[in-house]
Amino acid sequence: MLGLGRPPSTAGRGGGEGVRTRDHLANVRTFLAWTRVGLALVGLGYVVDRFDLLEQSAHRRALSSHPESRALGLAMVVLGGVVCLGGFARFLAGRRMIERASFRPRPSLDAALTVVAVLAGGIFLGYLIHVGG
Amino acid sequence: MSEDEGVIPHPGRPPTAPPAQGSTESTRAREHLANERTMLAWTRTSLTLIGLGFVVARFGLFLRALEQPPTASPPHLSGSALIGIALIVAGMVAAAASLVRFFRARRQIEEGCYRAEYWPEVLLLAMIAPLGVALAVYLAVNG
Repeated sequence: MLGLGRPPSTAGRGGGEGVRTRDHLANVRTFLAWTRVGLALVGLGYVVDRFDLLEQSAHRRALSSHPESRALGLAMVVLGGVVCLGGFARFLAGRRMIERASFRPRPSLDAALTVVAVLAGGIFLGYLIHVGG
Repeated sequence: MSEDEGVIPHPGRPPTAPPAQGSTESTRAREHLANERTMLAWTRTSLTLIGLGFVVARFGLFLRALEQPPTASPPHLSGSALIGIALIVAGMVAAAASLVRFFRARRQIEEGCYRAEYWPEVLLLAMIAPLGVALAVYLAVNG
């Protein structure tokens, strides 16, 4: 459980113990990089959401003039959580593939994130133009 | 310098052919460096968590200060302050866990038997997941 037991003697991708160790450590770093991307999305979503409230206070309005920014912020927070979970699933799959010596890179998650990032950038740009700077 | 300098081994390469299994001297160094990079990645992640916690806690406070009409600040902590503090604590716990992980991996590399423990990653996700849900619920409810 949790990788605390001894590794099987056949572990690794055939490059020896050192290669297996570095593969695992690289896998951990990739997971952490995904987690940071997720946390950055959560932070950005939070700031987008709260800035709308700030604007409300500044203009002394009871209601938000841009309710869509609240939805945008919340969507980004949820997306950040999904990215963290996806990164963890990828991490566990990577561990299994390293132990079985059959690492198959699956770029689907990376491609999905890039598409989402480009879309989010477009939505942001549209939002900023709509709000008027 | 002559071509024949067989007495001096090539820097960074063991003088004899490396065995297929087990760590050689040069892979041992690279394993330790990989372990160090992993430690630094953990540090960046915990600093991200602490920074996010700071923004969440402070922004909530800032908004409360701007409230019209100004309300008397209640003695209890607001939701954003609680989530922010919890995020900072999660960052500190992640940093401590990563230090333990670093020294355990260091010893395992020296022993030539890396165990690929993943309790720090599980711990990190177990801390982030409820906080992420709490933040999303807070944003959805507290408008």
